[in-house]
Amino acid sequence: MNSVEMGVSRLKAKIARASRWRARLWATILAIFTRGLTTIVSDSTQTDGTRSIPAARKIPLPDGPLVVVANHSSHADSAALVAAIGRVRPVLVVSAKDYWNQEATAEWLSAGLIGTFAISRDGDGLAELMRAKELVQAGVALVLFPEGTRSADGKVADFHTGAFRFAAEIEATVLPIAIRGTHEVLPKGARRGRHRPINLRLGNPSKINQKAIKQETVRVRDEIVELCELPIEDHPGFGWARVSRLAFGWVGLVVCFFWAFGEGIFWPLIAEMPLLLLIVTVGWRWRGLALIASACVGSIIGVVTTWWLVSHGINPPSPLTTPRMFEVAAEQLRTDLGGAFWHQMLNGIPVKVYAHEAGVLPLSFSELAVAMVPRIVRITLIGAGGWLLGNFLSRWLRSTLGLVQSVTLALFPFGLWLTVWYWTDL
Amino acid sequence: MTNKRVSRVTDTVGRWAFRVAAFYFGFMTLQWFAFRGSWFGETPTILASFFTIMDALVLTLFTLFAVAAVAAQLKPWRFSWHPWAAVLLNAGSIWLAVDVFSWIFAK
Repeated sequence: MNSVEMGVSRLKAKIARASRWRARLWATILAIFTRGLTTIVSDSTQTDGTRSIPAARKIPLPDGPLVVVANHSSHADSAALVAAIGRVRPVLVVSAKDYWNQEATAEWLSAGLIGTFAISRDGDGLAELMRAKELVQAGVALVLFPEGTRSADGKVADFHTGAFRFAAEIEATVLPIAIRGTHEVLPKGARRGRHRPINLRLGNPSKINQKAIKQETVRVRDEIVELCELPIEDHPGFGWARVSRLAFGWVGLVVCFFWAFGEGIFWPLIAEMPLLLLIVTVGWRWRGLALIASACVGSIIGVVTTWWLVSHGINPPSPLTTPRMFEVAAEQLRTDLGGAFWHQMLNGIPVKVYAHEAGVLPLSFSELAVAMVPRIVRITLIGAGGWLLGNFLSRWLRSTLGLVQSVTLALFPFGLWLTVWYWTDL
Repeated sequence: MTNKRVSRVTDTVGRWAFRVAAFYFGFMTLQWFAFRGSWFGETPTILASFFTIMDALVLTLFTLFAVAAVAAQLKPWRFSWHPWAAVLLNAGSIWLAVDVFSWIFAK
Protein backbone atom coordinates (compact mmCIF):
# COMPACT_ATOMS: atom_id res chain seq x y z
CA MET A 1 0.00 0.00 0.00
CA ASN A 2 1.57 3.32 -1.05
CA SER A 3 1.35 6.55 0.94
CA VAL A 4 -1.56 7.94 -1.13
CA GLU A 5 -3.56 4.76 -0.56
CA MET A 6 -2.75 4.89 3.13
CA GLY A 7 -3.93 8.48 3.27
CA VAL A 8 -7.19 7.59 1.50
CA SER A 9 -7.73 4.59 3.72
CA ARG A 10 -7.23 6.70 6.88
CA LEU A 11 -9.52 9.40 5.54
CA LYS A 12 -12.14 6.79 4.68
CA ALA A 13 -11.96 5.38 8.21
CA LYS A 14 -12.37 8.90 9.62
CA ILE A 15 -15.37 9.58 7.35
CA ALA A 16 -16.85 6.19 8.31
CA ARG A 17 -16.64 7.01 12.02
CA ALA A 18 -18.11 10.45 11.47
CA SER A 19 -20.85 9.05 9.20
CA ARG A 20 -22.00 6.61 11.87
CA TRP A 21 -22.48 9.28 14.52
CA ARG A 22 -23.94 11.73 12.02
CA ALA A 23 -26.44 9.05 10.95
CA ARG A 24 -27.52 8.55 14.55
CA LEU A 25 -27.66 12.28 15.19
CA TRP A 26 -29.83 13.00 12.14
CA ALA A 27 -32.04 9.95 12.68
CA THR A 28 -32.65 11.27 16.19
CA ILE A 29 -33.31 14.84 15.05
CA LEU A 30 -35.63 13.68 12.25
CA ALA A 31 -37.45 11.37 14.67
CA ILE A 32 -38.09 14.32 16.98
CA PHE A 33 -38.98 16.99 14.44
CA THR A 34 -40.74 14.91 11.76
CA ARG A 35 -43.11 11.94 11.79
CA GLY A 36 -40.09 9.77 11.13
CA LEU A 37 -37.87 8.60 8.32
CA THR A 38 -38.72 5.40 6.45
CA THR A 39 -36.71 3.86 3.63
CA ILE A 40 -38.72 1.82 1.14
CA VAL A 41 -36.90 -0.81 -0.90
CA SER A 42 -38.04 -3.34 -3.49
CA ASP A 43 -38.66 -6.79 -2.05
CA SER A 44 -40.18 -9.49 -4.21
CA THR A 45 -40.99 -11.62 -1.14
CA GLN A 46 -43.56 -9.06 0.06
CA THR A 47 -47.11 -8.97 -1.30
CA ASP A 48 -46.86 -5.35 -2.50
CA GLY A 49 -43.28 -5.81 -3.71
CA THR A 50 -41.75 -3.36 -1.24
CA ARG A 51 -40.33 -3.40 2.28
CA SER A 52 -40.29 -0.47 4.72
CA ILE A 53 -37.21 0.01 6.85
CA PRO A 54 -37.38 2.37 9.85
CA ALA A 55 -34.51 4.78 10.50
CA ALA A 56 -33.26 2.60 13.35
CA ARG A 57 -32.43 -0.28 10.96
CA LYS A 58 -29.78 -0.64 8.28
CA ILE A 59 -30.78 -0.27 4.63
CA PRO A 60 -29.41 -2.52 1.84
CA LEU A 61 -26.90 -0.69 -0.37
CA PRO A 62 -24.92 -1.97 -3.39
CA ASP A 63 -21.25 -2.86 -2.87
CA GLY A 64 -18.37 -1.09 -4.61
CA PRO A 65 -17.98 2.55 -5.62
CA LEU A 66 -21.34 4.25 -5.16
CA VAL A 67 -22.80 7.53 -6.33
CA VAL A 68 -26.22 8.34 -4.90
CA VAL A 69 -28.38 10.75 -6.87
CA ALA A 70 -31.56 12.20 -5.43
CA ASN A 71 -34.12 14.91 -5.99
CA HIS A 72 -33.63 18.05 -3.88
CA SER A 73 -36.27 20.31 -2.41
CA SER A 74 -35.18 20.89 1.19
CA HIS A 75 -32.23 21.16 3.57
CA ALA A 76 -33.73 18.09 5.23
CA ASP A 77 -32.77 16.01 2.16
CA SER A 78 -29.10 15.80 3.15
CA ALA A 79 -30.04 15.00 6.74
CA ALA A 80 -32.37 12.18 5.64
CA LEU A 81 -29.80 10.66 3.28
CA VAL A 82 -27.00 10.85 5.86
CA ALA A 83 -29.31 9.25 8.48
CA ALA A 84 -30.10 6.32 6.17
CA ILE A 85 -26.81 5.79 4.32
CA GLY A 86 -24.38 6.75 7.11
CA ARG A 87 -25.41 3.73 9.16
CA VAL A 88 -24.22 1.38 6.43
CA ARG A 89 -21.41 3.17 4.60
CA PRO A 90 -19.22 6.23 4.96
CA VAL A 91 -20.94 9.06 3.12
CA LEU A 92 -20.21 12.56 1.86
CA VAL A 93 -22.79 14.96 0.46
CA VAL A 94 -21.77 17.24 -2.38
CA SER A 95 -22.64 20.83 -1.48
CA ALA A 96 -22.48 24.22 -3.14
CA LYS A 97 -19.42 26.19 -2.08
CA ASP A 98 -21.12 29.49 -2.91
CA TYR A 99 -23.97 28.70 -0.47
CA TRP A 100 -22.44 26.81 2.43
CA ASN A 101 -18.92 28.20 2.56
CA GLN A 102 -19.77 31.90 2.73
CA GLU A 103 -19.58 32.17 6.49
CA ALA A 104 -17.74 30.25 9.18
CA THR A 105 -20.81 29.02 11.12
CA ALA A 106 -22.56 27.63 8.05
CA GLU A 107 -19.35 26.01 6.80
CA TRP A 108 -18.68 24.44 10.18
CA LEU A 109 -22.26 23.21 10.50
CA SER A 110 -22.38 21.71 7.02
CA ALA A 111 -18.94 20.10 7.13
CA GLY A 112 -19.19 18.89 10.71
CA LEU A 113 -22.78 17.82 11.01
CA ILE A 114 -23.58 16.66 7.47
CA GLY A 115 -20.16 15.79 6.06
CA THR A 116 -20.17 17.93 2.93
CA PHE A 117 -17.85 17.82 -0.05
CA ALA A 118 -18.03 21.41 -1.31
CA ILE A 119 -17.74 22.18 -5.02
CA SER A 120 -18.17 25.35 -6.99
CA ARG A 121 -21.34 25.61 -9.07
CA ASP A 122 -19.89 27.99 -11.62
CA GLY A 123 -16.66 26.13 -12.40
CA ASP A 124 -15.94 22.76 -13.98
CA GLY A 125 -18.09 20.53 -11.77
CA LEU A 126 -16.58 17.29 -13.06
CA ALA A 127 -13.01 18.42 -12.39
CA GLU A 128 -13.98 19.29 -8.82
CA LEU A 129 -15.83 16.03 -8.33
CA MET A 130 -12.78 14.11 -9.53
CA ARG A 131 -11.05 15.19 -6.30
CA ALA A 132 -13.32 12.67 -4.59
CA LYS A 133 -12.42 9.86 -7.00
CA GLU A 134 -10.06 7.96 -4.67
CA LEU A 135 -12.45 8.23 -1.75
CA VAL A 136 -15.42 6.93 -3.76
CA GLN A 137 -13.32 4.10 -5.16
CA ALA A 138 -12.27 3.27 -1.60
CA GLY A 139 -15.92 2.88 -0.60
CA VAL A 140 -17.20 6.30 0.42
CA ALA A 141 -20.73 6.84 -0.95
CA LEU A 142 -21.03 10.24 -2.62
CA VAL A 143 -24.45 11.89 -2.59
CA LEU A 144 -25.26 14.36 -5.36
CA PHE A 145 -28.32 16.41 -6.12
CA PRO A 146 -28.20 16.67 -9.94
CA GLU A 147 -30.80 19.45 -10.01
CA GLY A 148 -28.06 21.70 -8.64
CA THR A 149 -30.34 23.56 -6.23
CA ARG A 150 -33.43 23.03 -4.12
CA SER A 151 -36.72 22.94 -5.97
CA ALA A 152 -39.04 25.70 -4.74
CA ASP A 153 -42.28 23.89 -5.65
CA GLY A 154 -41.24 20.32 -4.80
CA LYS A 155 -41.26 19.20 -8.44
CA VAL A 156 -38.19 17.47 -9.85
CA ALA A 157 -36.30 19.86 -12.16
CA ASP A 158 -34.02 18.80 -15.04
CA PHE A 159 -30.85 17.05 -14.02
CA HIS A 160 -27.33 18.26 -14.79
CA THR A 161 -25.06 15.58 -16.22
CA GLY A 162 -22.04 16.10 -13.90
CA ALA A 163 -22.96 13.37 -11.43
CA PHE A 164 -23.43 10.82 -14.24
CA ARG A 165 -20.25 11.79 -16.07
CA PHE A 166 -18.39 11.40 -12.79
CA ALA A 167 -19.98 7.99 -12.10
CA ALA A 168 -19.19 6.81 -15.65
CA GLU A 169 -15.63 8.10 -15.38
CA ILE A 170 -14.84 6.13 -12.23
CA GLU A 171 -17.18 3.21 -13.08
CA ALA A 172 -19.25 3.71 -9.97
CA THR A 173 -22.76 2.36 -9.47
CA VAL A 174 -25.46 5.01 -9.53
CA LEU A 175 -28.26 4.55 -7.00
CA PRO A 176 -31.30 6.78 -7.58
CA ILE A 177 -33.19 7.73 -4.44
CA ALA A 178 -36.52 9.53 -4.49
CA ILE A 179 -36.98 11.71 -1.42
CA ARG A 180 -40.59 12.35 -0.44
CA GLY A 181 -41.90 14.44 2.40
CA THR A 182 -38.96 16.77 2.98
CA HIS A 183 -40.60 19.47 0.90
CA GLU A 184 -43.55 19.36 3.30
CA VAL A 185 -41.25 19.22 6.33
CA LEU A 186 -38.94 22.12 5.44
CA PRO A 187 -39.56 23.75 2.05
CA LYS A 188 -37.12 26.20 0.54
CA GLY A 189 -37.18 29.50 2.42
CA ALA A 190 -39.04 28.13 5.47
CA ARG A 191 -37.59 28.99 8.88
CA ARG A 192 -39.54 26.37 10.81
CA GLY A 193 -40.27 22.76 10.00
CA ARG A 194 -43.56 20.87 9.92
CA HIS A 195 -44.23 17.50 11.44
CA ARG A 196 -44.61 15.20 8.42
CA PRO A 197 -43.29 11.76 7.44
CA ILE A 198 -40.26 11.40 5.20
CA ASN A 199 -39.80 8.53 2.72
CA LEU A 200 -36.68 7.52 0.86
CA ARG A 201 -37.55 5.23 -2.07
CA LEU A 202 -34.56 3.36 -3.38
CA GLY A 203 -34.47 2.89 -7.17
CA ASN A 204 -32.53 0.36 -9.21
CA PRO A 205 -28.75 0.65 -8.96
CA SER A 206 -27.05 0.72 -12.36
CA LYS A 207 -23.80 1.48 -14.15
CA ILE A 208 -23.74 4.49 -16.45
CA ASN A 209 -23.02 4.08 -20.15
CA GLN A 210 -20.30 6.65 -20.84
CA LYS A 211 -21.39 6.97 -24.47
CA ALA A 212 -24.95 7.94 -23.62
CA ILE A 213 -24.65 10.28 -20.64
CA LYS A 214 -27.63 12.46 -21.60
CA GLN A 215 -29.95 9.47 -22.11
CA GLU A 216 -28.74 7.94 -18.83
CA THR A 217 -29.37 11.24 -17.04
CA VAL A 218 -32.92 11.37 -18.39
CA ARG A 219 -33.49 7.70 -17.55
CA VAL A 220 -32.43 8.11 -13.92
CA ARG A 221 -34.45 11.33 -13.57
CA ASP A 222 -37.54 9.58 -14.98
CA GLU A 223 -37.07 6.77 -12.47
CA ILE A 224 -36.88 9.25 -9.58
CA VAL A 225 -39.94 11.16 -10.89
CA GLU A 226 -41.86 7.87 -11.11
CA LEU A 227 -40.89 6.94 -7.53
CA CYS A 228 -41.84 10.44 -6.35
CA GLU A 229 -45.38 9.93 -7.66
CA LEU A 230 -45.99 7.06 -5.23
CA PRO A 231 -47.88 8.06 -2.07
CA ILE A 232 -45.98 8.92 1.10
CA GLU A 233 -46.10 6.06 3.60
CA ASP A 234 -46.50 6.92 7.25
CA HIS A 235 -45.02 4.16 9.40
CA PRO A 236 -44.34 4.31 13.15
CA GLY A 237 -40.75 4.02 14.30
CA PHE A 238 -39.12 0.71 15.21
CA GLY A 239 -39.59 1.25 18.97
CA TRP A 240 -43.30 2.07 18.73
CA ALA A 241 -44.05 -0.87 16.40
CA ARG A 242 -42.36 -3.36 18.74
CA VAL A 243 -43.76 -1.99 22.00
CA SER A 244 -47.26 -1.75 20.55
CA ARG A 245 -47.15 -5.43 19.56
CA LEU A 246 -46.09 -6.35 23.10
CA ALA A 247 -48.75 -4.13 24.68
CA PHE A 248 -51.54 -5.78 22.73
CA GLY A 249 -50.27 -9.31 23.28
CA TRP A 250 -50.55 -11.43 26.40
CA VAL A 251 -46.84 -10.79 27.05
CA GLY A 252 -47.62 -7.18 28.00
CA LEU A 253 -50.16 -8.21 30.62
CA VAL A 254 -47.89 -10.91 32.04
CA VAL A 255 -44.89 -8.55 32.24
CA CYS A 256 -46.96 -5.85 34.02
CA PHE A 257 -48.36 -8.39 36.48
CA PHE A 258 -45.13 -10.18 37.37
CA TRP A 259 -43.06 -6.99 37.50
CA ALA A 260 -45.45 -5.44 40.03
CA PHE A 261 -45.78 -8.76 41.88
CA GLY A 262 -41.99 -9.13 42.07
CA GLU A 263 -41.56 -5.52 43.19
CA GLY A 264 -43.87 -6.22 46.13
CA ILE A 265 -41.51 -8.99 47.28
CA PHE A 266 -37.87 -8.46 46.23
CA TRP A 267 -37.59 -6.89 42.73
CA PRO A 268 -35.72 -3.54 42.99
CA LEU A 269 -37.34 -1.73 40.03
CA ILE A 270 -40.62 0.16 40.34
CA ALA A 271 -43.91 -1.51 39.39
CA GLU A 272 -44.99 1.23 36.99
CA MET A 273 -41.90 0.92 34.79
CA PRO A 274 -43.13 -1.64 32.23
CA LEU A 275 -46.67 -0.28 32.58
CA LEU A 276 -45.54 3.17 31.44
CA LEU A 277 -43.35 1.78 28.69
CA LEU A 278 -46.25 -0.22 27.24
CA ILE A 279 -49.35 1.86 27.90
CA VAL A 280 -48.28 4.89 25.85
CA THR A 281 -48.79 2.87 22.66
CA VAL A 282 -52.30 1.50 23.18
CA GLY A 283 -54.41 4.55 22.22
CA TRP A 284 -58.04 4.85 23.41
CA ARG A 285 -58.50 1.12 23.82
CA TRP A 286 -59.54 -1.04 26.76
CA ARG A 287 -56.10 -2.63 26.70
CA GLY A 288 -54.86 0.39 28.68
CA LEU A 289 -57.20 -0.43 31.53
CA ALA A 290 -56.21 -4.11 31.37
CA LEU A 291 -52.52 -3.20 31.69
CA ILE A 292 -53.21 -0.94 34.70
CA ALA A 293 -55.37 -3.63 36.31
CA SER A 294 -52.74 -6.32 35.84
CA ALA A 295 -50.07 -4.11 37.46
CA CYS A 296 -52.43 -3.28 40.37
CA VAL A 297 -53.38 -6.91 40.96
CA GLY A 298 -49.72 -7.98 40.72
CA SER A 299 -48.70 -5.32 43.23
CA ILE A 300 -51.47 -6.23 45.72
CA ILE A 301 -50.61 -9.94 45.58
CA GLY A 302 -46.88 -9.12 45.92
CA VAL A 303 -47.41 -6.92 49.00
CA VAL A 304 -49.75 -9.43 50.63
CA THR A 305 -47.26 -12.25 49.92
CA THR A 306 -44.42 -10.34 51.61
CA TRP A 307 -46.64 -9.43 54.58
CA TRP A 308 -47.66 -13.09 54.96
CA LEU A 309 -44.09 -14.42 54.58
CA VAL A 310 -42.64 -11.95 57.11
CA SER A 311 -45.45 -12.51 59.61
CA HIS A 312 -44.59 -16.25 59.37
CA GLY A 313 -40.90 -15.61 60.01
CA ILE A 314 -39.61 -15.72 56.42
CA ASN A 315 -37.69 -12.65 55.26
CA PRO A 316 -37.48 -12.29 51.47
CA PRO A 317 -34.33 -10.57 50.13
CA SER A 318 -34.52 -6.77 49.84
CA PRO A 319 -31.85 -5.55 47.41
CA LEU A 320 -31.20 -1.81 47.09
CA THR A 321 -32.80 -0.95 50.41
CA THR A 322 -31.24 0.64 53.50
CA PRO A 323 -31.89 0.22 57.24
CA ARG A 324 -33.14 3.82 57.37
CA MET A 325 -35.86 2.95 54.84
CA PHE A 326 -37.09 0.18 57.18
CA GLU A 327 -36.96 2.51 60.21
CA VAL A 328 -38.96 5.26 58.47
CA ALA A 329 -41.51 2.79 57.05
CA ALA A 330 -41.99 1.14 60.48
CA GLU A 331 -42.37 4.54 62.15
CA GLN A 332 -44.97 5.67 59.61
CA LEU A 333 -46.95 2.40 59.84
CA ARG A 334 -46.96 2.64 63.66
CA THR A 335 -47.88 6.30 63.97
CA ASP A 336 -49.93 7.00 60.82
CA LEU A 337 -51.25 3.79 59.28
CA GLY A 338 -53.64 5.61 56.94
CA GLY A 339 -50.95 7.95 55.63
CA ALA A 340 -47.99 5.55 55.43
CA PHE A 341 -48.58 4.38 51.87
CA TRP A 342 -49.45 7.96 50.84
CA HIS A 343 -45.91 8.94 51.90
CA GLN A 344 -44.62 5.97 49.92
CA MET A 345 -46.04 7.48 46.71
CA LEU A 346 -43.20 10.00 46.40
CA ASN A 347 -40.59 9.21 49.03
CA GLY A 348 -38.74 6.52 47.08
CA ILE A 349 -38.92 3.81 49.76
CA PRO A 350 -39.84 0.58 47.93
CA VAL A 351 -43.27 -0.87 48.69
CA LYS A 352 -41.67 -4.18 49.72
CA VAL A 353 -40.13 -2.34 52.70
CA TYR A 354 -43.60 -1.23 53.88
CA ALA A 355 -44.93 -4.75 53.23
CA HIS A 356 -42.06 -6.18 55.28
CA GLU A 357 -42.66 -3.81 58.19
CA ALA A 358 -46.41 -4.51 57.99
CA GLY A 359 -45.53 -8.18 58.59
CA VAL A 360 -43.13 -7.34 61.43
CA LEU A 361 -45.66 -5.19 63.35
CA PRO A 362 -47.82 -7.26 62.45
CA LEU A 363 -50.81 -5.56 60.81
CA SER A 364 -54.02 -7.50 60.31
CA PHE A 365 -55.06 -8.32 56.74
CA SER A 366 -57.89 -5.77 56.84
CA GLU A 367 -55.51 -3.04 58.11
CA LEU A 368 -53.08 -3.88 55.33
CA ALA A 369 -55.85 -3.86 52.72
CA VAL A 370 -56.96 -0.35 53.75
CA ALA A 371 -53.37 0.92 53.97
CA MET A 372 -52.66 -0.34 50.45
CA VAL A 373 -55.28 1.91 48.79
CA PRO A 374 -52.73 4.69 48.03
CA ARG A 375 -50.54 2.08 46.38
CA ILE A 376 -53.33 1.24 43.93
CA VAL A 377 -54.03 4.95 43.48
CA ARG A 378 -50.39 5.56 42.53
CA ILE A 379 -50.24 2.76 39.97
CA THR A 380 -53.59 3.86 38.51
CA LEU A 381 -52.56 7.52 38.39
CA ILE A 382 -49.21 6.83 36.75
CA GLY A 383 -50.76 4.31 34.35
CA ALA A 384 -53.59 6.70 33.46
CA GLY A 385 -51.09 9.53 33.06
CA GLY A 386 -49.04 7.44 30.65
CA TRP A 387 -52.20 6.37 28.83
CA LEU A 388 -53.36 9.99 28.39
CA LEU A 389 -49.89 11.25 27.55
CA GLY A 390 -49.44 8.47 25.00
CA ASN A 391 -52.65 9.57 23.31
CA PHE A 392 -51.89 13.26 23.29
CA LEU A 393 -48.26 12.81 22.28
CA SER A 394 -48.72 9.84 19.93
CA ARG A 395 -47.96 12.08 16.96
CA TRP A 396 -44.45 12.59 18.34
CA LEU A 397 -44.01 9.32 20.19
CA ARG A 398 -44.71 7.22 17.08
CA SER A 399 -41.27 8.16 15.75
CA THR A 400 -39.40 8.79 19.00
CA LEU A 401 -40.62 6.11 21.42
CA GLY A 402 -37.53 3.92 20.99
CA LEU A 403 -35.33 6.92 21.67
CA VAL A 404 -37.38 8.09 24.66
CA GLN A 405 -37.35 4.62 26.20
CA SER A 406 -33.63 4.10 25.59
CA VAL A 407 -32.78 7.42 27.24
CA THR A 408 -35.15 6.70 30.14
CA LEU A 409 -33.72 3.24 30.72
CA ALA A 410 -30.15 4.55 30.48
CA LEU A 411 -30.84 7.26 33.08
CA PHE A 412 -32.96 5.16 35.41
CA PRO A 413 -29.97 3.68 37.32
CA PHE A 414 -28.83 7.20 38.25
CA GLY A 415 -32.27 8.02 39.63
CA LEU A 416 -32.30 4.77 41.57
CA TRP A 417 -28.84 5.48 42.95
CA LEU A 418 -29.84 9.00 44.04
CA THR A 419 -32.94 7.65 45.80
CA VAL A 420 -31.01 4.91 47.62
CA TRP A 421 -28.27 7.40 48.49
CA TYR A 422 -30.87 9.76 50.00
CA TRP A 423 -31.99 7.01 52.37
CA THR A 424 -28.48 5.91 53.29
CA ASP A 425 -27.10 6.93 56.68
CA LEU A 426 -23.80 8.64 56.04
CA MET B 1 -19.54 51.58 6.65
CA THR B 2 -18.67 48.18 8.11
CA ASN B 3 -21.62 45.84 8.65
CA LYS B 4 -21.72 45.04 12.36
CA ARG B 5 -24.90 42.96 12.27
CA VAL B 6 -24.60 39.20 12.74
CA SER B 7 -25.40 36.95 9.79
CA ARG B 8 -28.70 35.05 9.51
CA VAL B 9 -27.40 31.64 10.68
CA THR B 10 -25.47 33.10 13.63
CA ASP B 11 -28.46 35.27 14.53
CA THR B 12 -30.86 32.29 14.45
CA VAL B 13 -28.52 30.19 16.61
CA GLY B 14 -28.24 33.06 19.12
CA ARG B 15 -31.99 33.67 19.27
CA TRP B 16 -32.74 29.98 19.86
CA ALA B 17 -30.05 29.76 22.53
CA PHE B 18 -31.80 32.66 24.28
CA ARG B 19 -35.33 31.25 23.86
CA VAL B 20 -34.51 27.82 25.28
CA ALA B 21 -32.45 29.34 28.12
CA ALA B 22 -35.28 31.72 29.03
CA PHE B 23 -37.84 28.91 28.98
CA TYR B 24 -35.73 26.68 31.18
CA PHE B 25 -34.92 29.48 33.60
CA GLY B 26 -38.67 29.89 34.13
CA PHE B 27 -39.12 26.16 34.60
CA MET B 28 -36.16 26.01 36.98
CA THR B 29 -37.62 28.86 39.05
CA LEU B 30 -40.89 26.91 39.31
CA GLN B 31 -38.96 23.81 40.46
CA TRP B 32 -37.11 25.90 43.05
CA PHE B 33 -40.35 27.19 44.56
CA ALA B 34 -42.00 23.75 44.37
CA PHE B 35 -39.22 21.93 46.24
CA ARG B 36 -38.29 24.73 48.67
CA GLY B 37 -41.98 25.25 49.43
CA SER B 38 -42.50 21.48 49.99
CA TRP B 39 -45.33 21.33 47.45
CA PHE B 40 -44.69 17.59 47.10
CA GLY B 41 -44.32 16.82 50.79
CA GLU B 42 -41.26 16.55 53.02
CA THR B 43 -39.51 13.73 51.18
CA PRO B 44 -40.18 14.05 47.44
CA THR B 45 -37.19 11.82 46.67
CA ILE B 46 -38.51 10.31 43.42
CA LEU B 47 -39.34 13.68 41.88
CA ALA B 48 -36.11 15.24 43.15
CA SER B 49 -34.06 12.40 41.61
CA PHE B 50 -35.90 12.75 38.32
CA PHE B 51 -35.46 16.52 38.12
CA THR B 52 -31.82 16.36 39.25
CA ILE B 53 -30.98 14.11 36.31
CA MET B 54 -33.14 15.99 33.82
CA ASP B 55 -31.81 19.40 34.86
CA ALA B 56 -28.21 18.20 34.78
CA LEU B 57 -28.64 16.96 31.21
CA VAL B 58 -30.73 19.81 29.86
CA LEU B 59 -28.69 22.58 31.48
CA THR B 60 -25.42 21.07 30.23
CA LEU B 61 -26.87 20.93 26.72
CA PHE B 62 -28.34 24.43 26.78
CA THR B 63 -25.20 25.95 28.30
CA LEU B 64 -23.03 24.36 25.60
CA PHE B 65 -25.48 25.66 23.02
CA ALA B 66 -25.28 29.19 24.46
CA VAL B 67 -21.47 29.08 24.60
CA ALA B 68 -21.39 27.85 20.99
CA ALA B 69 -23.72 30.71 20.03
CA VAL B 70 -21.32 33.19 21.66
CA ALA B 71 -18.35 31.53 19.97
CA ALA B 72 -20.09 31.77 16.60
CA GLN B 73 -20.05 35.57 16.95
CA LEU B 74 -16.36 35.81 17.76
CA LYS B 75 -14.92 34.98 14.36
CA PRO B 76 -16.88 37.56 12.38
CA TRP B 77 -16.64 39.84 15.49
CA ARG B 78 -20.27 40.86 15.09
CA PHE B 79 -22.50 40.68 18.11
CA SER B 80 -26.11 40.49 19.22
CA TRP B 81 -27.20 40.35 22.87
CA HIS B 82 -29.13 37.04 22.66
CA PRO B 83 -26.32 34.52 23.24
CA TRP B 84 -24.86 36.56 26.11
CA ALA B 85 -28.26 36.71 27.77
CA ALA B 86 -28.58 32.95 27.20
CA VAL B 87 -25.29 32.33 29.01
CA LEU B 88 -26.47 34.48 31.95
CA LEU B 89 -29.86 32.76 32.14
CA ASN B 90 -28.24 29.31 32.06
CA ALA B 91 -25.85 30.38 34.83
CA GLY B 92 -28.89 31.46 36.85
CA SER B 93 -30.65 28.16 36.21
CA ILE B 94 -27.57 26.22 37.28
CA TRP B 95 -27.38 28.24 40.51
CA LEU B 96 -31.06 27.52 41.24
CA ALA B 97 -30.61 23.80 40.50
CA VAL B 98 -27.52 23.45 42.68
CA ASP B 99 -29.18 25.38 45.50
CA VAL B 100 -32.43 23.42 45.58
CA PHE B 101 -31.07 19.90 45.01
CA SER B 102 -28.14 20.27 47.39
CA TRP B 103 -30.71 21.43 49.95
CA ILE B 104 -32.91 18.38 49.36
CA PHE B 105 -30.16 15.75 49.25
CA ALA B 106 -28.17 17.29 52.12
CA LYS B 107 -31.09 16.71 54.52
